[in-house]
Amino acid sequence: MGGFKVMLVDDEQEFATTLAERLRMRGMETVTAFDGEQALRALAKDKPDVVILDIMMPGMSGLQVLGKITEIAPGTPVILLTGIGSTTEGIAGMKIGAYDYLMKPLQIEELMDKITAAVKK
Amino acid sequence: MKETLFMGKITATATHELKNVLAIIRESGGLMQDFLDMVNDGSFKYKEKFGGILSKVEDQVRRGDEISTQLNRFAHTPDSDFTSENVPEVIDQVIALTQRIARSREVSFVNRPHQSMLTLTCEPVKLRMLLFQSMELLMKNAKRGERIEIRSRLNENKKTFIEFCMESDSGRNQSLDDLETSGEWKELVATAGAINSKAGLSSDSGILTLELVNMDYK
Repeated sequence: MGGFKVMLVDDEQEFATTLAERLRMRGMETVTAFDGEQALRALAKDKPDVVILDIMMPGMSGLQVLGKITEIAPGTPVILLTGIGSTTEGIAGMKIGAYDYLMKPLQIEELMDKITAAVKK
Repeated sequence: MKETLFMGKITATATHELKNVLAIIRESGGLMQDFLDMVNDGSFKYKEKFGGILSKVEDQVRRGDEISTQLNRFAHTPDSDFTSENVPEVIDQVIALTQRIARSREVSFVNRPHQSMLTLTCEPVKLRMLLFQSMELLMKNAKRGERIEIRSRLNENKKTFIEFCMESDSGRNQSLDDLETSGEWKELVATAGAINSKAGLSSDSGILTLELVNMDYK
């Protein structure tokens, strides 16, 4: 498993950088962005295989960023992260093109499985 | 109601932040475990000790995750005046959020629904209040170590019954008859009445029963 380029987008920098390091230890290449604008700029340059995107961010929300990603890079799968204790926002994201969603705090094994399934879809 | 909505909104926002805190703790602990797993030559004599500590950290993340999830749902309760609720899930929620009180009184609650899906249309805040008042009343009345089962079922008239069953006669500090004269019991009955429901006590069987009316069938 591994070898994919994963973009992590989360305004919680400690979370994004630590998770990125764990993914690199599992053979992934990673790119991190801490807000929506930064993510969209990096998307064109880095061309990730999959985007892990937090829903609740200051500035552009995760769902707004998702909408832009589906326009700019329609084939790129997006896995949403939500910290809210319900599935409502994750399901809303899937309706506008997200591949899937996960609840924070994550289980790394579950994230790895989702990444692999999303890239191979 | 505005005040309740305000309290709910602030609490829900805080639970979102707690999820982020827990996520950072889990990933940091996970990263330490990843590094620990790379040491396989016996060169780090505290490997097992560290592994044990990280396991405790993960246990607490799970505990915090469950509490913050339930607290988030609870905080959203005032969003609707009337809503369809799955009663066993609501019972789980109230048990999870009051476990500290139960633990301090050395009492435990077990949710034993007759069916996993038991829908009730009701005022969600009052339903939770009623459950909590029932649990609090029984906790005050229970002896150390008492286990109280909460059984829920729907009868043929679409009425929902919730029964709080104390494990044994010896588990009670006082007769349930005495409770019927208490101020707490009167408050509980008033809360039940506010949602067209009833509360009853059976001293013989040690059961407190709530008979809840589905608002669709009022």
